[in-house]
Amino acid sequence: MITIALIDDEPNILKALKRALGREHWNILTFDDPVTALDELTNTEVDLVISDYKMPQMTGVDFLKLFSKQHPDTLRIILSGQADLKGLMDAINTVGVYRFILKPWNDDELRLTIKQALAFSQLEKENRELVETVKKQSKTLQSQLSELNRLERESPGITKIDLNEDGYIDMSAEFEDE
Amino acid sequence: MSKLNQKELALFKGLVALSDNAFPKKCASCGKVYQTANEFIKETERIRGLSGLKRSEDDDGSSIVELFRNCHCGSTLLDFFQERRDSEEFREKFGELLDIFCSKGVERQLARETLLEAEKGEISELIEDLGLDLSEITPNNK
Repeated sequence: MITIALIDDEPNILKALKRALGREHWNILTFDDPVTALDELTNTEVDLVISDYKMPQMTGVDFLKLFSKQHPDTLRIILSGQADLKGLMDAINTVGVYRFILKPWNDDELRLTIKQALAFSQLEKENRELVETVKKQSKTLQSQLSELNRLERESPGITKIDLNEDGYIDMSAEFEDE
Repeated sequence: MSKLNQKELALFKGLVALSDNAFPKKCASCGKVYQTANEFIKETERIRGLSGLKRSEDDDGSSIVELFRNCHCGSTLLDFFQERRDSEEFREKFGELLDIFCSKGVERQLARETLLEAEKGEISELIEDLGLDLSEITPNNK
C-alpha cells in the first residue's frame, strides 16, 4: 500500500488534506510537528512526503533536507500559502522537490499531482533496479572474461571456438591432418 | 491587516463555523489567538489576493466551506464553515416568509430586503407591525 506522510502545523490543514485524499486507498500519516515526524518516520517506508513550508519548529525546506537523509528515495512536495519565490527556489535547488503546491489547493489537481508523482517515483524505482541489474551483470561478465583470459594464457587457442551452421562446435580443423 | 472589500464581506457573511469548539483558534506559529470566527476573518490576510474560500465535503458527505487565511506571521490557517445561504431548509423557510409578506400586501423587493436584514438580526418596524415570527431564520435560532 502507498504511504503518504503529511506535515503541517495547522491541524485543520491536515484534516482537509486527509479528507481530500481519503477516497484513494492510500495510507495517510499526519504530523503537526516536523520533529515528531522525523522521529516517528525513521523506520517507516514512505512513498511521498508533503510538507508545509512555514512551520514554527523549522521550515519545510529544512525538514525535507533532514527527511531526505533518512529517506533518500522518497518524493518530496512542498505546500505553501505564500507565493514565496526565494522559498520556491530554495526548495527546488537544495532539496529537489517534485512540486511546489499553493494553498488553497484544488482537490482534483492535488490528487492528480500525487498520482503523477507516484508514477514518476515508480519509474525512478524501476530505473534504479535496472541499473542495479546491469551492474550485477557487468560484474558477472567481468569475472567470466577474466576466467577466459586465464584459460587462454594457460592453453592458447582454447577459447577460440568455431561453430558450424547448426551452432555446434566445429572441430573438423582438428582432424584435417589425420 | 488587509481590509475586507464588499464582495468578501458578502461572501463571509453567510458562513457559520462548523464546530462550537473551533474558536478561540490559536496560530501554532506565532501564538496569536482568534476569539471568534469574525475576528479570524477580519484580522487575517487574504492568500495571494484570493478570498481563500474552497468548497469541500465533510466526512458525512455534506457540503462545507473551507476558509484559508494567512495569519499576520505568514502561517496559513484554515477553518471549516457551513454556508448558511445554501441550506435548503433555510431557502425554503425564506421563500415561505417571502410569500407571507407579499400576501400581506408588502412589495416583494421590500419584503426580501427586510428578511435579509432580519437574518442579520435586525428586526424592522415592518416585521413588528405585521406581527410575524421570524425565529426560524434569525441568528439566535441558528
